[in-house]
Amino acid sequence: MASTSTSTLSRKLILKSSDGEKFEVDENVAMQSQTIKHMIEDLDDINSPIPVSIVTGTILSKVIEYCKKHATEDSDSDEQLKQWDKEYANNMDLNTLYYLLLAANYMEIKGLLELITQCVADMIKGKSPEEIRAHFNIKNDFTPQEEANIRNENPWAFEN
Amino acid sequence: MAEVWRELWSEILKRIPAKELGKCICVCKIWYSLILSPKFIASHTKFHQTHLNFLLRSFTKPSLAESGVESYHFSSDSEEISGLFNKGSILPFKTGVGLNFRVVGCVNGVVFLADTQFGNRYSFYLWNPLIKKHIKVPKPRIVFDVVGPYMHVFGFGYDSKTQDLKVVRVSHIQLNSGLDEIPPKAEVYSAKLGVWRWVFADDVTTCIAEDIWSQCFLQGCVHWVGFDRKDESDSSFKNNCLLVFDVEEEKFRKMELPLALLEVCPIVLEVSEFKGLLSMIQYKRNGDGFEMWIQKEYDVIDSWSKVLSVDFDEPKLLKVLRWRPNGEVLAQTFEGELVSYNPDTKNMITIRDDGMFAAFYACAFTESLFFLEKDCESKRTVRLEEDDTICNEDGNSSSLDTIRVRMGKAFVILNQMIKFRREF
Repeated sequence: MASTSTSTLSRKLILKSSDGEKFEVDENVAMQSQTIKHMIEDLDDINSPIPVSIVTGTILSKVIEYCKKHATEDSDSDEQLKQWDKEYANNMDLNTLYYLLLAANYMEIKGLLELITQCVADMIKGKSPEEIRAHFNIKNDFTPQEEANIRNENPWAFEN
Repeated sequence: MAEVWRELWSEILKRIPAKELGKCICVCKIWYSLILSPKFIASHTKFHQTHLNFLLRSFTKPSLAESGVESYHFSSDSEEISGLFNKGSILPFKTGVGLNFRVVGCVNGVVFLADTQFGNRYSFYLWNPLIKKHIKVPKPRIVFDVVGPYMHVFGFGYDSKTQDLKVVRVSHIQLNSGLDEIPPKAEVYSAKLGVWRWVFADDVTTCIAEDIWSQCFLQGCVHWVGFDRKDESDSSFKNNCLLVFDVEEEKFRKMELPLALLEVCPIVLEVSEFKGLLSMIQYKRNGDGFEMWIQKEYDVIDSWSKVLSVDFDEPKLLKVLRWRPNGEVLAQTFEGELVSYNPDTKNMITIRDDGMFAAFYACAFTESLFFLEKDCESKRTVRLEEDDTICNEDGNSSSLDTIRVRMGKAFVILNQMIKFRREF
């Protein structure tokens, strides 16, 4: 851990998940969440647990893992960090990705939100509408006629 | 929660290239309505904007039996340009004289094309070459039948506040003395509303360099090369400048040019864009070279600086098309070739040699879904039918003989134009 001031280093915060699990983290780790940053500003007692109300303990631990990695200004190059991000996202199943997406959105962690949205976008790329529905378990609510109309109106989308 | 998910899916789908989104609209109704919303289309286009992607227009030489083919190719400029011609979109409409359209400009993946090169024609299109949808722009207000002779220029820009594409047209009506009237008349066409309307231009004291005019949309504004008249009764020029039109505010203003460009004949100047910066090209006497200036900080006059000066032994380049990310200059020669020129090694590679005069055009391009929205399309269809009765001079309907006659006339004008630029 590098050049952050001693006061930030010494301070610890306690985050409390929706299912009551508590996590002690360095302030600079938690501060990557804009939501928590704003909560701390209004907080009188820094030692009381900060509720992260819609995020479960399982997901919060993954969020903290990401924030820890990105809080340290250590020797990792941009390239290494990107590689870490990629492996981090690739290890999640779709359900976890959905919950992480909601958590990153609620906690306002820009980097994590970008990472997960890009990861899901990459899953969509190169797939046919049928494959997309199957992958994301999306119900086709078009009638066959409606779908045929859209395809006929947009031949450009299906040309190579 | 549904609102949150809509927002999150929008963030995800924003990252998908425009072409692939065509498949995504078939997935389900929520995705369909999300992708077709003007807000999404605007933010998607903004996300994908880079200076690397560009559009290249080519127009093959017409023969007596066949008219030329006008096609548009788009890709990243990191690829080999010759490979670009394997894919592209052929323009679905033709000019009356069987020549290519004038590309006024390209904004958010939409090209504005005007068949104004010869005679008083009122054939204008907004075309998205990716999704192959277009709007036929109706007849403007200033027309020959109403005002007599006039000279006009177009600008094409985007109003990010109303998420609307706008065409602006500035016309100088010719006075009995033969001089252009100042102030000019200005009108704006909005793609959303589908109509032309007047905009205030009474405070414009600048003349716009016509004929071989250029325009550039940058920082929310359209820019044209303009000049002041030496005195009221004289068509001679002094104090070149840029006339600027703020597309959002719909107001005109002037911008200063570097001192070195102040007194040159405005017809040798061209305004364009390089890597998101405003730039000026000055063609040298006889067409045997050019200089390029860049405004390093937008609207800061002291930041104009000369970045390139190119000389040839003989008249060579008709038009500089694009300064490429690799440092080479893409240009069209007087002989109708498309070339890529390296200013450092002075090496010139011919990419295509089958182009018509002024057949090639290049500009930055972002593939977009503009005009995909359904409800606009229905309004547009009605308008299209109305306009077709006004503009019935379509290349397709003209007989081959009339095309030949018109082309003969067109070639004379073209040759005069080349001669003019060469001699100047």
